[in-house]
Amino acid sequence: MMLGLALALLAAVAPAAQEPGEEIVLRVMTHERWFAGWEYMEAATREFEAEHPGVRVELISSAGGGGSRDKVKFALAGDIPIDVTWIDVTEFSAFLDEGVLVDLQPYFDAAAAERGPDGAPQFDEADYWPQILNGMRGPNGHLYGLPSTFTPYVMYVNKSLLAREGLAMPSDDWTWQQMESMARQVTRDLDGDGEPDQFGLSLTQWLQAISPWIWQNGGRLVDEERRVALDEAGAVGAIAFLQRLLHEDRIASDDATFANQLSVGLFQAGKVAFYGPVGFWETYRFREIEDFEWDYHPLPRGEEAATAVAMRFYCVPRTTRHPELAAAYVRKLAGPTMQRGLAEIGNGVPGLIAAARDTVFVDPETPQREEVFLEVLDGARFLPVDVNWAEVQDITGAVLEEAILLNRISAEEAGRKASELANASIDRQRAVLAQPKVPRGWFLLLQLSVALGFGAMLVARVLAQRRGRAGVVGAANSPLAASEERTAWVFLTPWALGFVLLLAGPAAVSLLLSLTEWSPVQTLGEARWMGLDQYARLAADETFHKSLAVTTTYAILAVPLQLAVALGLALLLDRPLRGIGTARTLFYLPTIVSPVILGAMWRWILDGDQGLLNGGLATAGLAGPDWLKDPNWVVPSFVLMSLWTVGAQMLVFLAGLQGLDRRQLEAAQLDGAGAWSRFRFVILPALGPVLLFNLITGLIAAFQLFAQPFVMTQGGPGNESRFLVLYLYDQGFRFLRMGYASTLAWVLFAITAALALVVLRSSKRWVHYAGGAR
Amino acid sequence: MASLSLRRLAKAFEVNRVVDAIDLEVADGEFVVLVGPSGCGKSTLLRLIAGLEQPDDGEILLDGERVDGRAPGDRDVAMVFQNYALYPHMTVLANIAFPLRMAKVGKAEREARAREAAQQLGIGALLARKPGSLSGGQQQRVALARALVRRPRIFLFDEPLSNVDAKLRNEMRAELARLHTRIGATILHVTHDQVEAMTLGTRIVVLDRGVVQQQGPPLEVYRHPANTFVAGFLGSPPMNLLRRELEPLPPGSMPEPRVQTVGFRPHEVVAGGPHVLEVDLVEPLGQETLVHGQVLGDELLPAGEAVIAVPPGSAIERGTKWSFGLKPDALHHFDESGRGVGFPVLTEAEEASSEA
Repeated sequence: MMLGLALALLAAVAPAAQEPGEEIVLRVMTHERWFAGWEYMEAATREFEAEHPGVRVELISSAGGGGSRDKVKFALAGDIPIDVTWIDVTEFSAFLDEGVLVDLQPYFDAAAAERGPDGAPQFDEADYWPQILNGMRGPNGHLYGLPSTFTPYVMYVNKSLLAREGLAMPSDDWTWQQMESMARQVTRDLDGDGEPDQFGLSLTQWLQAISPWIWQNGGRLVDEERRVALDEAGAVGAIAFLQRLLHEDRIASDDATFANQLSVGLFQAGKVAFYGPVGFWETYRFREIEDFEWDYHPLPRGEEAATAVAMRFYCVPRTTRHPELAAAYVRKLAGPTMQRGLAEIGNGVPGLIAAARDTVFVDPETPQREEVFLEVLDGARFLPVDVNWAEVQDITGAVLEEAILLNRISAEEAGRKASELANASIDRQRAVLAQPKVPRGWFLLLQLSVALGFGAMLVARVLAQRRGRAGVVGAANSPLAASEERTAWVFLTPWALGFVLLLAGPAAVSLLLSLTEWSPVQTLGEARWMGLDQYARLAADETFHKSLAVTTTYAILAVPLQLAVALGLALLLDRPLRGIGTARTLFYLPTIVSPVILGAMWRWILDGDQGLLNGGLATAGLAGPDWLKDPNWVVPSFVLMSLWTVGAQMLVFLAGLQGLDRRQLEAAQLDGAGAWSRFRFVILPALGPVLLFNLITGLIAAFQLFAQPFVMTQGGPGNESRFLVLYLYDQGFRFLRMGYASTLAWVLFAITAALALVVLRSSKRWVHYAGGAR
Repeated sequence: MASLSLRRLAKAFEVNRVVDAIDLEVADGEFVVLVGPSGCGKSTLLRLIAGLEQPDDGEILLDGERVDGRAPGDRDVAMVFQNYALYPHMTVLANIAFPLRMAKVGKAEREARAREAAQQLGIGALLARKPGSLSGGQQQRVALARALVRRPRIFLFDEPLSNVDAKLRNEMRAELARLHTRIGATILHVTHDQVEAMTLGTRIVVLDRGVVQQQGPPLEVYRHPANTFVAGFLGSPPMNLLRRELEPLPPGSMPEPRVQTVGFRPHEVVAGGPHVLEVDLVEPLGQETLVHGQVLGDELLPAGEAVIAVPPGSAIERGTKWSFGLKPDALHHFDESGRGVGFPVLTEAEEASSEA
């Protein structure tokens, strides 16, 4: 029977062999639905299918938010056959180095040699912005993709505000000093509360937005050896400049963090003259502004003019089985139909020069000068990309946030710290590549031995049982016993298979992985042996320390509070009142809401400016903190939020209360015990076992907190909400270090197991089991 | 110790009147047993006195002082529950000392008093144990000690013996009786067990449907049941109650009490006499034999089912007809409403047969 089941499973999983003449399906991972480009995507796809009979394109939406990049990685890591996907230019180098992408140059060269019906070549590199194409070339100069849209960073200007303050629009080659002096004249305290509420500047603060200032100041992000060089004078000067504008001169507001991009900022509210550096994507929502006139403007120049470029492009992962068709489809997406469409909906600057120059993009009808985006292209640079750029970006980003947003460390310190930490990461990555590969067979062997070991254990157990039964007269070979045993096996098999294949096997593999370094987008054969170095590394990993501290603080605050609130609610709801069932349901309800939805909801509740909580506090005359952005309040915010979902614990307490012997309470009442004494001496001791259960599950849940910080803060500000599992996720799926992520997972396991053990041991002293003799 | 008075005490759950305007006096030092079938309101009455339920009407007085408005802890009343209600996480010593701890008695004193109470009940060796490791009888004694240690004004026992086995019950019964004589406590004891009722109390109070049916010294109540309920409830096997159909009174005649039910106890029977039992079941129990059958109606006894206890070894067989007589004073008469009618009057025929 098991064999049959296995065969059926195999048949269902194995891909059907392709018959000749059968339709070819191209699977395309796209973010265009998120950015409203779906219509043009479909139009281009129909054209492509018409030109390639027998080919069908299946569009898969990856969505477009923060997690969408990870979705692409999940697909690649899971060996899901994707033929074309978008990626962000900042991740290009990592993918390239992992051998994930197909070199498209040969296919493009072939297309360039071919002539279409109009006699023109099928493909011509000169049709695209050369600076932009350089962003997707490998070290050999070959093209690995073609652009969707891109955008250089510029300033958005509130022209009406400048006019009102009696200031003329600056010239295109304006300088830092001019910007500073204009900002100073605009910044005002309009309501007289001593705090400025109209600002000259609203400064964006993620790394891509900060780098133009560094470049303009003659600094650089990386040196010739591709190591981070933020400690050089140019970079430090730029950081100090921004710090001064924000915290000393206070002519710039800090409302434009990345997390704030979705809410209405000060610029939209008409309270800021210059907003940036930021890309074309803001146009989409600023078109709704009716109260004032605004325009694009180049960034001011320091020692030189420079700006950054953000871009997403389409490329072909190694999982494809039709590279030539996939390359042709990429060309289609970079062709006129799609590019003009994207220009029309204002998605960014088209990579196709003709589409960008077209009036669809540089639209004379709009009051804005779209040309600015094309004019600044000469000074446009991509961020330097290296293998582990995602991690480098995270590390430097967190340090820069500490300096620029929180003003906790000086510019020199920030430059030094960011460089040190990032270079340690770069060195480590280089060291990993020097390590020997782990034979792939090890993983197979490990899984096999887990399966065999488990099987042997089962068999030994069964044999021991049979021997035990042989002593009982008549039981050993009775038909009833044999039939019962068969039935037992039928029920056991699915669980045993699931346990070995889905739990024990992967757990064993993750233990081995924790001694290696491996990128999940590669095959297991690429894993490098690191040994106990991975564990030794924890000692020096400051982010891990921070993350451990954050998580522990959270657990210490949240777990007792949750228990207290859950118990309090249970006591309140343990009454035979009318409608009490409904009340209990209501309190339980939040528990079954998806944590992601809860996170989104609470981000709105806890928002510093427009949040429900601060709104409520304001009507009471209190000024609430900026919960999720204040380093002192972000962990307490999560604690507060966790109280929203104590329903499950409350239910367990309630069950415990209902199992309580009412006579004991009455006896205590007669013995003269008041409400508190009854709670202290009768109820609480009787709840010992459920308290223990809730304490242990609560501790485990606290150490595994992930979805809410992932949705709400992504670990910020700085690393102030970088909970352990979030850090683990960062390592495994954002930085593609599954080995170190496994190390973290095992450390997390050890911590929770140790805590649970301590609690269990101590419980012998404070938990009494009803009917127990202790 | 104290005296207890209940005046028109009433309690209803929704429309169900569980305690229906009960008046009861318990003198200082008296051991009163409240007895009745399940649901007769005896436990509710106890809980009202303890303060665990609030009366709808009426008064509760201890030593002439009203306590019905007070919290349970302020009434100075101790209660022993059917399931003992010991605190499972505390040692025996802590359990016994708990009421004193609540009364803020100093640690040394309360432990000394707890030990003393434990000694009195013979559980002095168990003080460090937890209730879970004790036998039912030992737990019972801990519960008693916990009640004792407070020196309350009155003890309330809510079926404390119903959870222990038969042998232990006999022992504990004797223990309770001794305890009462030793400390002279006022005790109100609730039970549905008539042996307990007969043996323990200086007075028994029979309750049914929230109303006191009869009260008095146990033997008095046994001998002269005030109504068919009491007659049928006390005694094992219970009194045989034979009911006759009465002719409807002629219209316009004066209503007068008429005897409808005639009762006699299974043990108040002698072999040979004017009455006949058609035997359909014989149960030899060892110390006696129970004979079940149909009484053939005669002038004195209406026809009906009856059980008769005869000495062991009597040669009575199923299917035969057995003639019997009644001991003097054996007959009880009840009117149409079940109320006892005066003292039984023997007819001449009855006198003759008993003499024989």
